[in-house]
Amino acid sequence: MRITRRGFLKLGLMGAAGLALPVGSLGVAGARLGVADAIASPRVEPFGVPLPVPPVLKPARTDKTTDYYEITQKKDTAEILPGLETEIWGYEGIFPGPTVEARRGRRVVIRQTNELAVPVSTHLHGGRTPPESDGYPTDLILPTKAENGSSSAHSGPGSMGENSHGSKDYIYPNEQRGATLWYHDHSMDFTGPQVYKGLAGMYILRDEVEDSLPLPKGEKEVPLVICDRTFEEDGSFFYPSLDPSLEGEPGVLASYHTGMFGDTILVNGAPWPFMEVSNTRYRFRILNASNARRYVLALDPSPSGKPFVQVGSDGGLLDAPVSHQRIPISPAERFDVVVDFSRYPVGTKVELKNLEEDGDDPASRVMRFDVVREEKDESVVPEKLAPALDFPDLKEAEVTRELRFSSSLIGMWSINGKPFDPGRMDARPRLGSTEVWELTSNADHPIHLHLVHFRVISRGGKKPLPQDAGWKDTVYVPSGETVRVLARFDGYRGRYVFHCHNLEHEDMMMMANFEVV
Amino acid sequence: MEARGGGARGARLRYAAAALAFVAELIHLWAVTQEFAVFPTRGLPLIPIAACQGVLAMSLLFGPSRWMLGFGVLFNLLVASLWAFTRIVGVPSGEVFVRLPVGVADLAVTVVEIVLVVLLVELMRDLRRRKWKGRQR
Repeated sequence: MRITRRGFLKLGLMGAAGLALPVGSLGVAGARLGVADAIASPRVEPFGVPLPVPPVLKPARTDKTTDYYEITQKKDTAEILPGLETEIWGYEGIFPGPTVEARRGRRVVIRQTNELAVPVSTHLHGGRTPPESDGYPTDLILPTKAENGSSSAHSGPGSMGENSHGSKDYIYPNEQRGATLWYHDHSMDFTGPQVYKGLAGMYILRDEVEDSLPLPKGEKEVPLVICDRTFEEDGSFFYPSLDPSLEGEPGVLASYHTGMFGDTILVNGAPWPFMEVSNTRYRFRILNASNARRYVLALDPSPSGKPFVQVGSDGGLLDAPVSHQRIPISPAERFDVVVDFSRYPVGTKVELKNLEEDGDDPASRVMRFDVVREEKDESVVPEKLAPALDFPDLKEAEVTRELRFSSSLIGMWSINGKPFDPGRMDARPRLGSTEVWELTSNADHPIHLHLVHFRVISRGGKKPLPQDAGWKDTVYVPSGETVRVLARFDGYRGRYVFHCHNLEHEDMMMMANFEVV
Repeated sequence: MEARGGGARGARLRYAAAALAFVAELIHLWAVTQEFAVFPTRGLPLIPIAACQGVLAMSLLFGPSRWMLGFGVLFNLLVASLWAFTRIVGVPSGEVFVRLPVGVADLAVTVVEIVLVVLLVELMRDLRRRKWKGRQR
């Protein structure tokens, strides 16, 4: 068969247009992902910086019933990696934000002012909060400089009311048990990047029960906000947003579909810090504030017996302490533990490790405790911590809901096959009613319910694990397992959300509404 | 029979159609680089669409057969309909359909494809007229 010059040219151009160009575009797309995947943080020697402790915020004023706080959300810089500056978005411009200390029975009003360029919404995680102050994803505080409306990608249908302009007063009644809570950004579609940039802080609610216990106090009660970040060479945070301005398209690059896992572990905002301790007991309020990373915390060297004595969970004190060899902690979970360093001779360096990762992975290290002095210890972990927890009885359950957490073909995450829609109500529990929620997933998901605390009643048809003890608001549901939880829907009527607390899953629609009626 | 020739008007139509098909290909390929980074299944379906537009564009340069013109019309109608479907009804995501947002690029390429359909139909009519005239001679 003879091919003419014209035929040859035609075939060549058709091949170029029909094959070479499409293959080339795939190469460009692959290269874009490859560049993002190759980013590694500047090398930092672990245990080179002391553990910072976030400052406790002072109220702007107080009256008989209420403490009033003012927090401004703004950009600032911080030296997180030695010698490099990192731009952060912080509550009061710091990362983590200042700790709010509240008392049970005393109302707290926080005026949140948004000086960032994007809308925000603040959620008190673990708080039993009226719906208008719960930080519903579309109840946004628009930037102070914004005109009417909000930037397009952040506005959404189904907001509970008018967006706030510039600032908003969040009212927290604090009528719940003392507990380790935290506050963080919860804005629609952009929670992941905005928390990653620094919008998270501790909120410690104290009560008389806790006051009466001889647990370690003062300098020996330390919050540990653990999270992971990846840094660019210049020290800036690396986050794989499709639109890094966070004003346009939400979401992350495909290779981060399962979540953003940083290669540098920060505790209270410092990379792999160390803390000098005496040979006494310390109480650590541990929060996993990572976007997606789960940790299995362990001490190395490990003393004889179980080194972590858990005294509290997400929802406050346990009725009796539970000892653990390891603490598995998924995003948003809190463990309130006491560690007794008298088990170590002075001079021992005790590393807090993450057994979830291999030993040569930088994320396998968390921080180090240096036992540097002897001290008299008057603290005790009593055998009884709090009155028996007022768990609802399984027999009281009126409804059992099955909730499947899964992914979809187009990269969204869904609950019962439905991506989040602010305009759709997915469950309507009655005020005061008790329900069983059966949570099943096809991947690992930390599931968080707003408003309520719950008890884990079974895992894969078996008894709950020791780390499921106490009142919870976030529970780890591993792939292929069904976790049953029992919750009483009391407190407030209104609309709330429940969602996966892997923040990239949450932003990609793994969230649903419930309305307490 | 090929639509090559057909006078200056026919040639202008062919080149204009070829240019539109090529523009449609380039926009789809640009979208591949964007959508593939979001999630592979969102980018991959655009590749055969872009490839077909490219083959159509080159074919138009060299005088396409009536079959190719018919294919171009049906193919572009299908692509434009798919675009409308995904923006009005949505794409299946789990048990529901999720509507895709209307963007500048996808709206522009749809307009290009609709104009391309009009040109291709005109080319087909032109071809039919010439065929009929040829028979009369």
